[in-house]
Amino acid sequence: MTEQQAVISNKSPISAIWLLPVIAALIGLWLLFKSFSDAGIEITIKTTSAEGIVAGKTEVRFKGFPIGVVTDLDLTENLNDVMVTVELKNNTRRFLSENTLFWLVKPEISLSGVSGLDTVLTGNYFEMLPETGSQYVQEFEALTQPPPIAEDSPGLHVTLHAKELGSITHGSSVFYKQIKVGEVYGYDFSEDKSHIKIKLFIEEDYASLVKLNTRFWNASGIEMKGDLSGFKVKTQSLASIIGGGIAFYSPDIGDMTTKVEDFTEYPLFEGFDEARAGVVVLMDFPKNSGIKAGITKVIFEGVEVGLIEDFVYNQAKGGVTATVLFDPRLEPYLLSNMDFWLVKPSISLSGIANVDRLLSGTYVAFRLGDGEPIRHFDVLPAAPPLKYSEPGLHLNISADSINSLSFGAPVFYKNLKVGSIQNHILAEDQRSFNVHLFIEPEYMHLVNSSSVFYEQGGFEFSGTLRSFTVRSSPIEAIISGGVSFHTIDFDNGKTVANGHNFPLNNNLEHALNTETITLQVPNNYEFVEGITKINFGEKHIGTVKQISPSDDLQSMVLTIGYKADFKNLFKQTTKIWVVEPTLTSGNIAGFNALLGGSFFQVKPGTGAVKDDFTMLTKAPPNDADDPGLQLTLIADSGFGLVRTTPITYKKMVIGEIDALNYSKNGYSVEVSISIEDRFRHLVGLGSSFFVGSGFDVKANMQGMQVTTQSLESIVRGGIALFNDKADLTKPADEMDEYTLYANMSELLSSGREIQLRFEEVIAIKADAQVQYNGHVVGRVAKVELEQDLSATTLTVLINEDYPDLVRQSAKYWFVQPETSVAKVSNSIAYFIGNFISVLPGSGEMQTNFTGFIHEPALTSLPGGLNLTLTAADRGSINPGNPVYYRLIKVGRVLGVELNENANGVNVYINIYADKQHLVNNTTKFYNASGIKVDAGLFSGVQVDTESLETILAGGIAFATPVPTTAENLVETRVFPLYDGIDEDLKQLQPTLKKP
Amino acid sequence: MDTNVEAIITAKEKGLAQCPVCHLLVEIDNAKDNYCPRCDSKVYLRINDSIQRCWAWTICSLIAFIPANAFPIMTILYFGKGQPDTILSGIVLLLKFGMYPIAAIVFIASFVVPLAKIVGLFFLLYSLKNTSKLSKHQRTKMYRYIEIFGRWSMLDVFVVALLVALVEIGAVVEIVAGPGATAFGVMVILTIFAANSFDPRLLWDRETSNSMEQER
Repeated sequence: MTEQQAVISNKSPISAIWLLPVIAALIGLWLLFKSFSDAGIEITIKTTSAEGIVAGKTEVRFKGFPIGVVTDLDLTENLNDVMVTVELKNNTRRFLSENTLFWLVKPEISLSGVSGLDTVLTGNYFEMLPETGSQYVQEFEALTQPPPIAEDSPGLHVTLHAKELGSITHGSSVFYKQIKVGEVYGYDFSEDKSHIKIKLFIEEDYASLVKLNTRFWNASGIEMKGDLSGFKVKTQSLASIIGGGIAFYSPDIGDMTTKVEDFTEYPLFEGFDEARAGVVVLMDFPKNSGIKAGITKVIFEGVEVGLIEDFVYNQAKGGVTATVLFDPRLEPYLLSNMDFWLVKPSISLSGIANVDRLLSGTYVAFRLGDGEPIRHFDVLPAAPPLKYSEPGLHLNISADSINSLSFGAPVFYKNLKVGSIQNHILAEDQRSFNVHLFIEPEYMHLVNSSSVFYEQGGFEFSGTLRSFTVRSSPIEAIISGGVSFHTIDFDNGKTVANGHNFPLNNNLEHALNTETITLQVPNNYEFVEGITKINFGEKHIGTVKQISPSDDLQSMVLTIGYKADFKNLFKQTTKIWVVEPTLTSGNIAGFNALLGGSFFQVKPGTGAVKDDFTMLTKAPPNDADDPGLQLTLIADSGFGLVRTTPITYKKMVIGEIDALNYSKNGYSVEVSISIEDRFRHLVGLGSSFFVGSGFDVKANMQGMQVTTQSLESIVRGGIALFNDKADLTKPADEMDEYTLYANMSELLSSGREIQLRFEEVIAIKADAQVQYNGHVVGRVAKVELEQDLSATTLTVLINEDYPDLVRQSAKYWFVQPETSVAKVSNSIAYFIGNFISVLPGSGEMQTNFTGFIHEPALTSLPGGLNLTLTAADRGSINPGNPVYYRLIKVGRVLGVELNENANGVNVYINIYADKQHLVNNTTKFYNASGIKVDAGLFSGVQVDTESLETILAGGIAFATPVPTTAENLVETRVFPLYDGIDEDLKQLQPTLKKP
Repeated sequence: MDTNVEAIITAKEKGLAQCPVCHLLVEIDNAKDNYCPRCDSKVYLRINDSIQRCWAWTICSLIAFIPANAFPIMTILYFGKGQPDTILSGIVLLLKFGMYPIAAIVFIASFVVPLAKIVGLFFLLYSLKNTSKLSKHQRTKMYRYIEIFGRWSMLDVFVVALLVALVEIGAVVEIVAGPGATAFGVMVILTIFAANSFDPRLLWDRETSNSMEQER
C-alpha cells in the first residue's frame, strides 16, 4: 500500500444543490397555480331527464368543441327535474348570461331526420349557445330541443300559411332549385287555429331569391303523378324526402321588384303543380258534376292549366261553386265569352270513351272566347258544339248508335287526325243520331261527295288460312274512338257544303261496299247483317248489309253491298252459293267459314248486268268454258273434300276443287276440279289423282318416314296429282274424267284385281299389304267371308308392273308373326299387321288363286346357286337357316318340304352368287345343327358345334375336298345331306379360287 | 458487535481516501479539494455535501410526489370515452373490479415504495444529527433497502410508456399518458438521486462527524 499525497485545491464555498429544491418548489407552485386557474366554472343546468348523462363524461360543447364536463347529477327536491352540475372552462365566464342556452344533444333517428349522429359514439352531450347578456348567471334550464333561429338573425324571415303541416318539422330545409337556402324554424297554429303558420328562415345570401310573387310548396316526400301518357316522379333532395322540406320558385310574371319584408305571409301549396296554378277563378258547376277538390283539373288542348281547389254548394243554382286555380299564364285569356264544360269518362258495353280520363276523372275543358276579363264562369254539363260559323267544314253524320262518338273524339283521314266530333243529338225520328263532325279548315278539301265515313275501331282482324291481317288504328283512336273517312274519288267527287249529310258505316269495308245486289235465300240459313261476307275466289268483295223477309215470307232477301270494282262479276249467268263450315272427324271443310261464319261465293258469269240473284245451296259443277282445265274426278266417296280444296302437284298448288256432286247413278262422287291454265300441261294420259290429306306415315323396323302434302293440305285436305305413269305428251281435254284414289298406296297398288281364296278364315283386314320379299306389290281391297265361315275370299289388287305375280304358278300365302324358341319370324307383321306374301309364278295370267296358310317352300332364288339337298328327315332345319363353309355363312336354306314320294325331305338352299365356286360335285353337305358331343374314357369330352346360331336355329355346313375345276362343276344340283361328316374331310384345305 | 466496530480504524482517521474511479488509496487534505494523482478524478473522504444534497433531492422528490399523485397518470379511451385516472383512483378502480393482487402490487410499487423512500431518507438524514432508536446497523440495512427497492417504482412509468406506445387501435382504444406520469417519473428519478447522494458511511462516522459537518 503506497500512500501518496493528494493534489490539493481549494473547495468551493457554496453548494449549488439547494437550487434544486427551489426550482422544484417553483414548478410545484406554478402547477398549483395553473390547476387553480384552470379550474372551471361550476354551473347547474336543470333538465327534465338525465338520460345518457354521466358525471365526469358528458361534455358541454360549443360548436362541437368541448368546453366543459358534467361533474355531478342530482335530482331536484320535488323529483321533477335533474340538476346537472357542469364544470365549464373558465374562459367561458363571459358567455354565461341569462340569455345563454343549453340543450341536450341526443342521437335522433326518425322518419323526419337523423340528428346527433355523433352522439352514438361519444354519448349525449350538452350543446351551449353562448349569448352575452346583462348579468352573470350560473343556473340554467336546458331546452327540450335545439333553439330556433333567432328572429332577428340576419336573413329573411317568411311566414307560410298551410292547411296542414305535412311532414314539415323543425329544421326542414327550404330549397330553391334544390339548393338549401334556409330552414323551417318554427310552426304554430294561426290565431283561429284554422291553419298552420310555418316560420321560415332564408339565409341572408339567398334572401333576394324570395319575391312578392314567389310560390312556396311542400316539397316533402316523393311526388308521383301518372296518367296514360306516362308518369313522372319528382323529388327534391334526398334530405327533403326524409326530413320534409319546402321549395319555392318565382314565376316570371308578377311583382318581382318590390323588396320582401320580414314576416311577409305566403300560402304554402301542396305541390309544385298547385304552386304553379295561381289565378283564382270561381266557377259554377252544374248538378251531378262529379268534381273533386284537388283532383279535377282544367285541361285545355290536353294541357292542364288549372285545378279545382275547393268548392262550396251553391243553393241558388243547384250545383257547386268551385274555386279554381288557373295557370297564371292564362290570365289574359279569362274573358267573358269563354265556354267551359265538363268532360266525363264513360264506359259502356260498346266501348270505353275517354279512357285517359278514367284515371284522372272528370275534367273541365274550355274554348277561348273574347269579351271582358272576368273571374266567374258557368260550366256547361257538356261541350257546346262548335258554331257553324267556325272556319272549317261542318258535316252531319247519321249514326245508328254513338258507341265511341263522344264529344272531342277525333276524325281521321288515313289515320291522320283532321277534325273532331262536336256533338251528337238524337235525330228527329228517334232512331239514329246526328253527329256533328268538324273538319279542320286545312283538311276541308279531303271530303267530297264520294267520301265514306266509318267508325274507327281498335283492331281490325281478318284472316284466312292463307293470309292473316291485323290492322290497328292509331292509339288515340283505340282509346278514344272516333270516326274515319275515306274519299273514293277525288277527281269526280263534288265539293260538299257545311251541313252535308253522310251515313256512318261500321267499318271501312262496309263503307266501301257502295254497290248492292239482292239475293234470295232460303229461311233455314243463318246470316248476319254486317258480318256475312261474299267472296270472289278467296277475296272478300262485300258484306250483307240488310236482311229482310221476302214478300211471300217463304225466304229472305239479302241486300249485299260490294265494292264497286267488282261490278263486272254480277252478270246474267253469275252463280252465288253459300259455303258453310263443316267439321268432321276426317277433315275440316270450309275452314274459312269456320273462322268467319258462313259466306257467299260468287262465280262470275256472262251476259247482261244483273243485280238480283237466287242463292244456290251447293257449288255448281264446272262448265267446260270456265277458266282453266276443267276435269272431273270420280271417287268412291267425298273423302271430306270441300270446295276450294287445293289440287297439288309435287306439293305445289295447281288448281282447286270447284264443286262436289253425286254422280248421276248416285254410286260415286264427282269432284269438279279446275287446273290453272298455266298448269294445264301437267295433266295427261295416265295421270292419277289421290287424296293427299294429312300425313302419310310409314313405319317399319328401320325407322319411320312421315310424308306430308303441303301444310295447307294437312289442314284442309287436298288432292295430289300423280304423274309417274303418265304420258304428258297426250294432254287431257276439258271435262275429262279421272279416278280419284283414296291415298297414295291405293293409287300405287291399283292394278290387276285377283280373287284369292283361303280355305279357312284368316285374320286379315282390308288394306293389308301384299308383299314380295319385303316389297309392297299390292293390297287387299276387300275381305269376304264365306257364309258358312269356312273360307275367306280376298279381293287383291296387284301392281300392274309385276305381271309375274298373277301368273298361274304364283303362290300366295298368309303371314302373321310367330314367336318360337328358334326365332321370331315375320316380326314386321307386328307393325304393319298381318299381310299376304307372294311368290311369282309362270304360265298364263289368271285372276283366281288359292292362298296358303303357311309359307310354301321356296325352291329357288333368281340369283346364286340353287341346290336341293335330300335328307331322311327335316332335322331342325328351317327356312332361313344359314349354310356355312368353314363357319362362314355362304348361303341360306330357302325351304324344306317332303319330296314327291314322301320318303324323304327336300331341303332347298341357295348359295350366294359370289360363293358358288365353293361348291362342286365333290362337295358334301351335312347337318350342322345342334351339339355333337364325343365322350371317351381316355380321350375326354369333345364338344363340337358349328356356331352358336346353329345350336339354336340349326344350319347346314359343307366341305369341299377337291378344288373346283372344269371337270367337277355342279351338274345335278341335287346333293345328299349327311347327318355328320368325317373330321378328316373337314381338315382338308383345298384352295378354292373364284373362277 | 459494537465493540468490534469501535475498534475499527477508518481510512478517514488516517487521512486516507480511495479514488472513487481507479480505487487508488491516496492521502488527502480534508481542507481542500483533492484529486487522484493517477486518474485525476476528484477524491473525497465522504461524498461531498452528502447530507445537504440528500436533503435537497429528498425535498425535491417530496414536492414532485404531490403532482404525481394529484394528476391523472393516464387516460384509457374506449371509443373516445374515458376518464383520466390518478394512481390512487386507478387502484380504487382495480379494487372495484376485484383485482386485489394487482391493486396491491400497484399500490405498493407506485405509492407505498416512493413514499416510504422519501420518508426513510428524511429519517436517515434526521438520524445523522439526532439520536435514533435504531442502531447504525439497522439504519444501514434500511438505506440498502431504500436503494434497492426505490428504482422499482419506475415500473409504473414504464408500464404507462409501453401502453401509450402499444395500445393505439384507432378510435377504439387509445391510452393517453397524463401529466401525473411525468411527475411520477420525475419523482422516482429524484428519489434515486437522493438515495445515491446519501453516503451511508456517514452513519458510521464517530463523533468527529459532527465537527466535520460544522466545518462546512
